[in-house]
Amino acid sequence: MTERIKSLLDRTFDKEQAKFRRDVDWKPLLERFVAEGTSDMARARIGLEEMLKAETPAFMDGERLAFLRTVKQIPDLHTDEEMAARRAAGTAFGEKGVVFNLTADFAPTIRDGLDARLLEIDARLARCRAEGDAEGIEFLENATLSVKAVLDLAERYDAAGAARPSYQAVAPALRKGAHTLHEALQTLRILHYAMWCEGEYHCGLGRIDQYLFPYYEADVKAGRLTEETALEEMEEFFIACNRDSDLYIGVQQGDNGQSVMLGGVTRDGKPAFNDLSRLCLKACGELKLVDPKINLRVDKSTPIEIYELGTELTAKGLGFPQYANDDVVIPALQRWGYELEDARDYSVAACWEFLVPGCGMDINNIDAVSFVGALDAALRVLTQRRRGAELLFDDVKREFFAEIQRRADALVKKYAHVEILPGPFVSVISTDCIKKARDISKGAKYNNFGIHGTGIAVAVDSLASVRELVFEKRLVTLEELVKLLDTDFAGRPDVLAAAKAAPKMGNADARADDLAKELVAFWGHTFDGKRNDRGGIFRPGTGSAMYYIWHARDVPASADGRLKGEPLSANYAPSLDVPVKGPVSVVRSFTEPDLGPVCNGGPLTIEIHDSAFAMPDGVGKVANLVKFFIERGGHQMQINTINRDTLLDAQAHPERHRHLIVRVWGWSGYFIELDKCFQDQIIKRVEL
Amino acid sequence: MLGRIFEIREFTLQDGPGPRTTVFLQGCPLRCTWCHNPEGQEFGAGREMTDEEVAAEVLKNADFLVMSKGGVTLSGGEPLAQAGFAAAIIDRIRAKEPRLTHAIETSGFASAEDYRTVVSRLDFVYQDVKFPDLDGYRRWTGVDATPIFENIKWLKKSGVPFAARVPCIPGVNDSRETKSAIVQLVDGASNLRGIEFLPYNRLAGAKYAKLGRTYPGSSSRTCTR
Repeated sequence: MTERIKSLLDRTFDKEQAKFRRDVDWKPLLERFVAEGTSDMARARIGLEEMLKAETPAFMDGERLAFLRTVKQIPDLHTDEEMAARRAAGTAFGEKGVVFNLTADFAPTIRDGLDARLLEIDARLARCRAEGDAEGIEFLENATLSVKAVLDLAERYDAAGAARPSYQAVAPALRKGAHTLHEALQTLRILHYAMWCEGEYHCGLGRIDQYLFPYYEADVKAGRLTEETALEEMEEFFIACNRDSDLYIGVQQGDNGQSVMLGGVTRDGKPAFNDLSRLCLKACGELKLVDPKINLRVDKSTPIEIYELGTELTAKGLGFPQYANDDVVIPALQRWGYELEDARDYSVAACWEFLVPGCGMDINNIDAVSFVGALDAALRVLTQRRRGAELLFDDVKREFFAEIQRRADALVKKYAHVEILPGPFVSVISTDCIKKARDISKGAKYNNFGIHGTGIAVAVDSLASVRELVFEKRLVTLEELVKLLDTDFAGRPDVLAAAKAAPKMGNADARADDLAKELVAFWGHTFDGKRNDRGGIFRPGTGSAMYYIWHARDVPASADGRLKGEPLSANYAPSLDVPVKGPVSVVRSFTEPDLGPVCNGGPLTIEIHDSAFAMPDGVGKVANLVKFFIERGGHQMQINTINRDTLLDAQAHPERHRHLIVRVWGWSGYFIELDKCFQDQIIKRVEL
Repeated sequence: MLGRIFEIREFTLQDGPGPRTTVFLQGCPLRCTWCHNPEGQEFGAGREMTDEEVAAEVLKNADFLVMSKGGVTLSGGEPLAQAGFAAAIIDRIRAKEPRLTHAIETSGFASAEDYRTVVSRLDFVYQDVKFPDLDGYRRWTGVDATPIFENIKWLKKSGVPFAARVPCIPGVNDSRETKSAIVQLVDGASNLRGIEFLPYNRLAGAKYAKLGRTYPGSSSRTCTR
């Protein structure tokens, strides 16, 4: 790392950039929108214009990539009352309602520049006018103004920067197209920045090693860049991803969706891991920052060296890369109707939801089904059933699956009519929106909804426990067990002990794993045949997002011995605090189910004790564990390298652990910035 | 054949080449004053298993161990205290899956016959060297270490690759003179792959640390093959 980068890194980590920031009260703008009845489209454009107008060009000493946020708040475009009224009238929204969890198609605009987009808009606008397409006209007119607002700020930056030594103008490449890696990164930085200013959030960066590679290659060939200077370029860009990120919207600090996908295959199926992929991994390893979050696509032919490069980051405790398996994901996306070339081009939306950049307007995390909640409800239904034939364990499974189906059906109904608020600027940099003269919020090529499945391991363990305690050992009746769940097993320590000793997912124990197979198989087809009103399907997944905390609050104790209030495991992972044999058995258990049908995403999440990397060959050994997971048909995996003692010390002395990074649910964050419930959940995860 | 074990742990990373499954055999004739898992010392404790059962448990992960060029390590307790059982486990596993490598972690306190029977079956040996002389052993481990030194002498000529492991106990064997004498004891063997000095932690026992792993004055390499 060069001195300049080191200095930028330290000052960015210490938030020097915050000194440029100011508060802006956007309430008058919102009041104006309401008073004037401004359309959604115009609000989005005016919001972006006003936001960018309020921005002041600002520079950190030593930086070569410009653009900093100086206004803390992004304008709200709708009042709570307006949104509530729309919801009451039968419209559902994903989270805040705006475009989010999406990766734009940056490549064409980096290459052609925004002027090219303006020309396309003009041509299309003429056609809309000729055809009297009012909706098209409104979109394209607002899109033009949005683009101009972005260009205007770029020009103000150039005017302000001209006096600075070694400042490189940003507007020319932004207008006319980039020719060097530096220009490409600068344009990318501006486009990404503008998306956040338009109100989009969880804006992914996609396959940067693919769409930036031509610039890198040309620079190297022309002698403009060496490996060292290219590394410096990438490092500066990655540092820039950490400048404004504390202003981004998320459930927790660090949950900002700035994901990058590396490796995999090209759209025509050739191996895509290249020198720039390698450079990106190296840059992250040197910087040790939480952003961008690195994802790495692999398949059964991926050489162990690539896993080892990834594991070097794991060893540094970054919580990434997160691995995705092309052998599972590409066919899964095809089965869901994605074209082969698009499927090969997949990235992740924010955490782990698979998405095709540019043409995916999927709402990948629209809701979740709580398996633990469903099992609890099912057990209660069974205890209230009229006496008749003897209850069998198969009846429990049947009722459980029926309850999952009821909950899934309820979600299909709940999201029968979903609207997304427009984003004219993000539409300009997404595939085919100009061509269709429609904002991306009206639909892209893919418009699927993703549904998380929370608490798989706790549900499976609970089922295994019910089978053993109620049907095999006959230690309690189902009625007694349900009552014990309401009292945290009060008065029956023997039942609690037996519940904890029952088979657990993660031990390569068929008595639990067979149930997991059945559950995942059922879940994978729960939404078969259902469509949303945007022409998309429902994609079930094994992720939990933050629901592993939220859903745990809705249920009493569970039959696996988890007491009330204790959290669920995040995503696809063994239950908290259960004894497991080790990571090989965990991988074995969690790759027993067929994971293709649950490819909305949701990684096997494991915690490796940091002593694994005390010896230099630890990297190779852990890399083999990941390879084993991929070869066994795992879909996605992430590894935390932690040490419980360090985490406890960080709770007691946060000031000593400012750099401590952990993987939370689908992103890496600074441990000390997390709410305590999220910290505690990580401390309770099984250390392998 | 019946034996006693106290744990079979998968994915152990510091017990040999590649990831390994480590079988901890129950019982140890030494009484090291710093021992941090005395539950492994008593011969009557642990659980009884047949060599077949142990092999079956290990072989559950054979696919992973083969893929990652790992294998099985026998540890303890003192695995050579159940030398016949140890040899039977190795033979069983090797008959089913010849691609796994076998290693041991031993104090070397065993009869020459037991030592040679097991070690000649192995791909790698972690030979504990706690002291360079009989006095240290007598005082701190309670045994007459003559067989240990005899076995080390044999090991050096056996051709079986080995690393010397030295638990560094503050105030006991961590002086410069002691360490240097230990190095002299094992150095020069063509099959020596490294000398590992393991810093001792009162709570966790001797563990690897990022530093201080190999003796700075030694020409030997670390223990990867």
